[in-house]
Amino acid sequence: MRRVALVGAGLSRFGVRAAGFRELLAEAGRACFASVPHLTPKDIEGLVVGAVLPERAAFQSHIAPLAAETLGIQPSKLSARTEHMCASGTAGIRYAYAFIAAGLADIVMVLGVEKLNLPNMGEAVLNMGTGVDRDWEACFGLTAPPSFALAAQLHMAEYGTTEEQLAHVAVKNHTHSSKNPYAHFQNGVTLDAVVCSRMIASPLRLFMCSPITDGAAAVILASEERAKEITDKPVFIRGTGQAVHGFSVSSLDPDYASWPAMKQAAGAAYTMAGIAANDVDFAEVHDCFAIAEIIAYEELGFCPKGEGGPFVMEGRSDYDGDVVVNPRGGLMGCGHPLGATGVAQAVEAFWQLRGEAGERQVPEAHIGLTHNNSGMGEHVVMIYGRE
Amino acid sequence: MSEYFRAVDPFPLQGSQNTRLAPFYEALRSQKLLTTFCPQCALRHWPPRVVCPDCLSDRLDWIELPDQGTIHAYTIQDTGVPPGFPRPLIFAVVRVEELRIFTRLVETEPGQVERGRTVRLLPSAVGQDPEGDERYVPTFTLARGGAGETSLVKIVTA
Repeated sequence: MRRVALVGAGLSRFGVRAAGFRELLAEAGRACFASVPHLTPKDIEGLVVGAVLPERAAFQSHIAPLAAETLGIQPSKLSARTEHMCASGTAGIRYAYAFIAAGLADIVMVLGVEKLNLPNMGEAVLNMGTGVDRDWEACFGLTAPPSFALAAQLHMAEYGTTEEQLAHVAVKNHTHSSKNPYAHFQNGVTLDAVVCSRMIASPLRLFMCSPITDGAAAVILASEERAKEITDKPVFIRGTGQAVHGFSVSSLDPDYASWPAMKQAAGAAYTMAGIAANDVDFAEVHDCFAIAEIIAYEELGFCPKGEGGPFVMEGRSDYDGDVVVNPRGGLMGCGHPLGATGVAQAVEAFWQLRGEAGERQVPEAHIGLTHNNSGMGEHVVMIYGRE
Repeated sequence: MSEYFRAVDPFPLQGSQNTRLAPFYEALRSQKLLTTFCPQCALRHWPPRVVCPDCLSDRLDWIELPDQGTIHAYTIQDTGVPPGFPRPLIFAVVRVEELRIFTRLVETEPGQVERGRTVRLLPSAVGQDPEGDERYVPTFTLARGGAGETSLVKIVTA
């Protein structure tokens, strides 16, 4: 297999945007091309677009050709959309990676885009229910927050994880996103404000949840040979892993506080990269809810099982700790435009590993990990490196 | 502009013209909880399946489950409830023998919900299908007087 690198990256602003689906993807696509002066849309051989809800939120399917036409791309080797709920963006990066590694294309763009906010926010909330099992879960009114609240309840019961520890995840990530001009939330938040914010699904309060956000993100991947011609600072994909253990809440491991699929995906990625968890300098993990980040510390191997709560309280997942988790502010601080999230994580890895992350720069960043999930039993992990 | 005749909603179509799981819904209307059983694997499923995930056989039997179980985990959602659903929503994972059933508790005081408490099936009507037949989903409620493990322990230690 050929080695593959990121050569360009760009974002739209994330937030409640007065912009349509096409405008958001155009904004991220333009920003991405601006980061690679030697490439034009005509050089792009493949385009993969991660998008979850355009049929419901924009009355639009047929997404990849729409994006290609918008950006003046005429794919000659690969054109596809990926839909894997919240992990759609990283699923797209894996497709592009495999295509290039196999020699079927040299240069592929991956876009992630979502327009979630609608004039009727009830409709926006209802749409999120399409990501769970309609026949056996959404029919009860289930959306994401109560699913992850079940994990939080069991993690608290089993390991003594506290509300304060959950709140610390939110404070850390909002502090990080206050240094990110693309983030949905840039004002930071205090511990008091988090624990006093309104209850969404017990024990998860408002600031322990990622918001409903519009946004888009784009990266360009290239074969090693082309990457070195395009830029003197390529960011290499060192490893990747994915595991899916179940779809519905009823089918998962009975202990929702343990996510073995995540451990499996991370293990595969570490093995491929030839590294261990303690080699990771920063990680963009899927903090859709505070409990998810705490469980991620454990399943990614940053700390032993059950010790994720103390890990964040002791500052070990922050700057000057063991590993900087969510330097861009994560899903909680940046927002979670579903299809865009995994791609936005890759954008942050690109900036961090090139030393271009500004105020958020992680010192001496050589290895970065991104983790994207779509429910508690479905995980995908990428490992990026300067070499 | 003419009126949009019908939007797709979050509830499955339950009649035999739409699904092979119609017997499940038919039983649910008379307060019975069925699921599928694969005789080849001697395996009970939840949720009911159209093929056995272990052997892929589509020759499955319908069997009746007990209409009571205990709360394995729960959460109460106050905010962000989708339109058309009551507030708050009480979600629970209920253990029915070896199975875990994700459900919602109805006609239940949120303050009375505890892990280990006994719940019983209480199906909820959710709206008619295009043929005008009422549709039901398998919701549960706290069993009156039927103390679960946690409550029993509490009584003993009180």
